[in-house]
Amino acid sequence: MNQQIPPYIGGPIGTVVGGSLSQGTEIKLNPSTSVEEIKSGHFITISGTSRRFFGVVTDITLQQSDPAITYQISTDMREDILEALKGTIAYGKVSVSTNLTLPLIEGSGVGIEPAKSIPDHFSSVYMASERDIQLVFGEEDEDHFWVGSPLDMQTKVCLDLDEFVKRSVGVFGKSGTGKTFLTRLLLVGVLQHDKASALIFDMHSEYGQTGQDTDRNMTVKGLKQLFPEKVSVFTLDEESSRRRNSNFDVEAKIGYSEIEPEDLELLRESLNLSDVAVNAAYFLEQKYGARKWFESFIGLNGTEEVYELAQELGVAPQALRALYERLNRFKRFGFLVSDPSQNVAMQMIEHVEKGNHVVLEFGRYGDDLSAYILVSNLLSRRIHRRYVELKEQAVGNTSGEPRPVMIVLEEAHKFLNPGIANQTIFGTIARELRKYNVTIMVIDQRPSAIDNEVMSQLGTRMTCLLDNEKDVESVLSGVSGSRQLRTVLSRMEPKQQALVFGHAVPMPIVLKTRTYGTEEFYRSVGRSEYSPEDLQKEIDELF
Amino acid sequence: MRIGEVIQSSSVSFLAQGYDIKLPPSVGSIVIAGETLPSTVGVIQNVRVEPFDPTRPVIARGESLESEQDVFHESPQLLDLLTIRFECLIVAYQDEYGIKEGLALTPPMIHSFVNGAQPDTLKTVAKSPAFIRTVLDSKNVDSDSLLIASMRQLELELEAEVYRDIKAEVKNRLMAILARETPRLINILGYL
Repeated sequence: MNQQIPPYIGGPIGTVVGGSLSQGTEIKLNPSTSVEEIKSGHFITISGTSRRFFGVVTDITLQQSDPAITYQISTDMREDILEALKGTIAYGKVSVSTNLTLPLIEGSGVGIEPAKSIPDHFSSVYMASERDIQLVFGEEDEDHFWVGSPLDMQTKVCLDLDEFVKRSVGVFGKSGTGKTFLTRLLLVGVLQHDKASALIFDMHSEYGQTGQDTDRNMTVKGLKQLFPEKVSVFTLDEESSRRRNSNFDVEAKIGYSEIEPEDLELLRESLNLSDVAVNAAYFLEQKYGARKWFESFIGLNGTEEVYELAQELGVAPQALRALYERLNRFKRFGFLVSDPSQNVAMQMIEHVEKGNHVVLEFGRYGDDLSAYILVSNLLSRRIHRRYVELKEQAVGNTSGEPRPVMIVLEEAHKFLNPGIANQTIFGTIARELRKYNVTIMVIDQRPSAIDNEVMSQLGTRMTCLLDNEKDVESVLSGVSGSRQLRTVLSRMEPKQQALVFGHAVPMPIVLKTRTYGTEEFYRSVGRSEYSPEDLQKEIDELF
Repeated sequence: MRIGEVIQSSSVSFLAQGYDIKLPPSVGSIVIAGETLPSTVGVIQNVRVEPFDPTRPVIARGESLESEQDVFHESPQLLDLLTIRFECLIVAYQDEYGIKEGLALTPPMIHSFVNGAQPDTLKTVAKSPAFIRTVLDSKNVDSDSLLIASMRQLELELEAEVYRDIKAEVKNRLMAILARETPRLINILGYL
């Protein structure tokens, strides 16, 4: 049944007076509309002749029809004259990025489409209603996850989860702007709707078990607590996990044999290794064999043996000595063992293939960037390799499509900077996109340090406040209307606000992100503060 | 009330002669020339008290007299030698369908009687964009002062509530017409 779009909120706020498809639409505010009521990021609709346009406010300016007014106004001018001039001769102008067209009549069979034109001159402009926003951003259902609300509105804005998991995702923002909470929220969406498996390299042990909300001075539930049957926690640091009462499933041990020379490419910066030292690892691999080189090398007995080996391999002795000393530091990593009883990568893959999600807690090793880079790289490489096999089998019709997996990676610029992005598995994953059903979610505060090619492959980007010019430019690179979005981004509040754009939303939007960690939130994801036993007890006590 | 009759006429303005030099009409008043349709609506933009015969200029007569009244008391024939003439700017006309903004299709007939407009006519004419624009464009007098004078007349002739509505409407129209001439605009607003 056709249904007329609900009445606009409070009548027209202005009139279209100019614009272009590339630069957006210019709107002169009505005298009755105060400029102060309009905020950057607000949604508006424009009633064109044959369609309605949906857009977002990107800039607000004060204009005057006659520059001479500047010299005519004085503080002792009569109030009624100032009032008369306000909104007429001196008026507010709003720049709007018109992104979508909406049907004039809801249910008329005309869908929401990207705007390929702009509204006629003098079209009336309205604040978007809650229904408009629902129409554009979808309603919460099995494919859409409520991630937040537009500024100053209670309407739910939802992510299209199918699109979200199909391509790699970026979560950016400077320190303390809520990246971790936003990521936790996104992962809840992925887990709750079972759209993909997540493999989380949990640098600071924030995602699996209890997390800290320093602003509200309280703890919040982690993924394991919210989805105990779906989430498996692996730990590299059993002691730390026990201290935190983390209910881990697997203590992860990784064999020396798993380490490959390519891993050292990534560790070049954190281990302060020269090119020569890194290249020497390939000679070592040739000499000792692919799975034995690392243990054999760090097992050498002192500098003398290292120098002898250098002579034998034809490598600069000082470079090999530096490599020896740096790699010997790995002996401190309790999770690296000579002969592990299990294959962690395969265990993770098994969990993922079963539809579970894996959180790898780093415990005290999370503070050691070398450990984080080494482990996440070598495990991801194994997982990617396995997925390539599974995908090839699927293409050959010998098995079904592998379940999509999203690898969550913090401090992503350490893995994906322009110098090494081509050499790491993460660079490969980001570029290959969904070819092998493996995508990455990069979380970073320095997007400008991430390789441009990788950035360009991110399907959905979510960014909290950024104030570094280069970072802002990097996040918005290749995005239509980036000039306008730059203004929006720079005006965001430092907490609980994010600019979201890309495949998972029909148009860029500034959100007040959904509050994580409240009783209401837990209830909405099916995990109340009260267990069924607690609830039964309460009921028994009542009656 | 009849205040004079047309003695010279064109499609943009007319000149009328008043009947009583002691009761000159006010500048800015809205008047109607012609008692049958189509009639012409004008705004008095200039009022002159002058000799009937321009070749016989008035001379000063009061040097040895005590008061101004004594001048006319000593020379009562003066009242018959002087007259009132007032120029009206045409802002609208009225036919059988009502009041139409803008210039009259034909000039008012010579000897058409000139009457003060009724409140309904005042209201309609004053709110019309053509009225404000024509007054502001008038060349023979200070157009801004003429508009201010018209508004003052309207305030005198209309009920307060009606005048408030008209003033608001006129202000809005002024904003649009003088959008690029804020010094003029602010000056006029200061008097309204």
